[in-house]
Amino acid sequence: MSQPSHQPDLPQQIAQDLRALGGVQAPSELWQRVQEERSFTELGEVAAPEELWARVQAELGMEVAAPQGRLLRGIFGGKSLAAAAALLIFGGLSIFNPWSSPSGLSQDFVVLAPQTSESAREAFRSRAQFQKVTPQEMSSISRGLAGSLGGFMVEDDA
Amino acid sequence: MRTLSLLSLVASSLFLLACDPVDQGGASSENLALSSGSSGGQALSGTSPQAIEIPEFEYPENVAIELERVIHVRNLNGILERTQETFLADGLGNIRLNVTGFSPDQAQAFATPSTMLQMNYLNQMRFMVKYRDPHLGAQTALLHNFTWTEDAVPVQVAGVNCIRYTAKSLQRYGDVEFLADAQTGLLLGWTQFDASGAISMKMEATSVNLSPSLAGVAWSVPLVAEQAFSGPNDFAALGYEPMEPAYLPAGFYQEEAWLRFSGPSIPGISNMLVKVYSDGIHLVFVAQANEATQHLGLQFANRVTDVFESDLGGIRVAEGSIGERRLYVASLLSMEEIETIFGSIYPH
Repeated sequence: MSQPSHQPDLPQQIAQDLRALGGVQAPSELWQRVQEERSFTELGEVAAPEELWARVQAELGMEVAAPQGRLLRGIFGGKSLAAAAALLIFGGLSIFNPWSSPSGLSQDFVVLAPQTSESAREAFRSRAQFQKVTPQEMSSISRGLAGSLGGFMVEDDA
Repeated sequence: MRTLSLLSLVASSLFLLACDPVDQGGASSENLALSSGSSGGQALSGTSPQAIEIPEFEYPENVAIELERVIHVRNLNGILERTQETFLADGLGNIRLNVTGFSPDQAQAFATPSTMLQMNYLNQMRFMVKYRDPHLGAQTALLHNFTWTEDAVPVQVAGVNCIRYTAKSLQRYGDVEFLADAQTGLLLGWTQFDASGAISMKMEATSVNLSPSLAGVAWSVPLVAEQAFSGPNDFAALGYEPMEPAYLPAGFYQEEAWLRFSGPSIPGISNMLVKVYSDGIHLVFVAQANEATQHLGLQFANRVTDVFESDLGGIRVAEGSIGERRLYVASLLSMEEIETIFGSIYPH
């Protein structure tokens, strides 16, 4: 299998710090709200909900003051700077290509696409006019892609 | 700095959602599968599936083997066609996949495959082995998207005692079953179901030879030059900046990306970028290339065409254009998912 995007390996300590975060999950509607309201390129103009930090704190089970002007300072205690740097690197890269898997980490560390509302899905589908055609009317490239997944037309055996 | 803080908070939330607490020793024993329907307190019987951790398989292409097998594929008419194959591998990365028979249903005897079908196998065998035949992807995705069980009673496949593993799709894309040698984990069968529970595609080995004679085998070789695509650094090699889907089905991630260099075999098309997305088992291809205006003699500025879609042997495909960019989305998933992915590539 081809290697995914090349990205610098994380130092082992940072990788360990990230793993130590455990299975904490973000509020489930966070991604949906972000996705519905803004594209990724516009995230920089969006203000976070006021209660976001409080909710993240509750999930982490820690009482730490919200960061003021410094990224994630103190949130992870003594390992804050290392973990924050890793999150910046990983998060920044993920934002610019949200579905990429950083190969610097194990292939197991991937960003999974969240649930998307039906209204958003319908909006995406409405951007194009879809026309059902026979398999023969599809291009050779489409046929090749389908063939790679095991899809050959019945007529391929005619 | 405020923007940076927000980006990192969002990124950290995303990352935490996907974070897989892998044991430092690399062992998967701590990554027990979620199994809300069959775990904890349920009495085990001799035939009830048991919740398990994610199994590890040995894939045929990684061992020296000669495998006779039958592939079942549901066609547009809902009929399961059958194709006989012979798979050869030397365990060193070389493979050969030959089609040896075809039957249009479950009853008729196998007949000699058409020249066209043989040519398709010749051109696609490397990709079929890699992408048509299921392979387990990232463990995070496998845990998040599936519950795993194994049958207590082994089944015989080509005379080999095998264990049936079932990956139940929590996102309802269709469950997948695997039949693996109980001793070695060698994958000797699999079944992919659609969301309704009907078989979409199935493979079953009919004979296994682990000491094959491989002398004189014409191993598969790439027909066009390819290389891994690593992002912006490869934009120059690609020749254009790729478009990205804003939507992926829930639980999917980008598994890999590769660049296929155009040539005489694909006239009128620039270098092609193919991205492979996965939920750990199911795959989606998103491919794109620029159409050569010189080839077709047309102006492509602002061109947005209808998107053609069709079912090609159980695989749904959509293709269309934005300007000179030709886009393709292909998958075993539903046409609705294909359309949603495709539409999300289009600008607002």
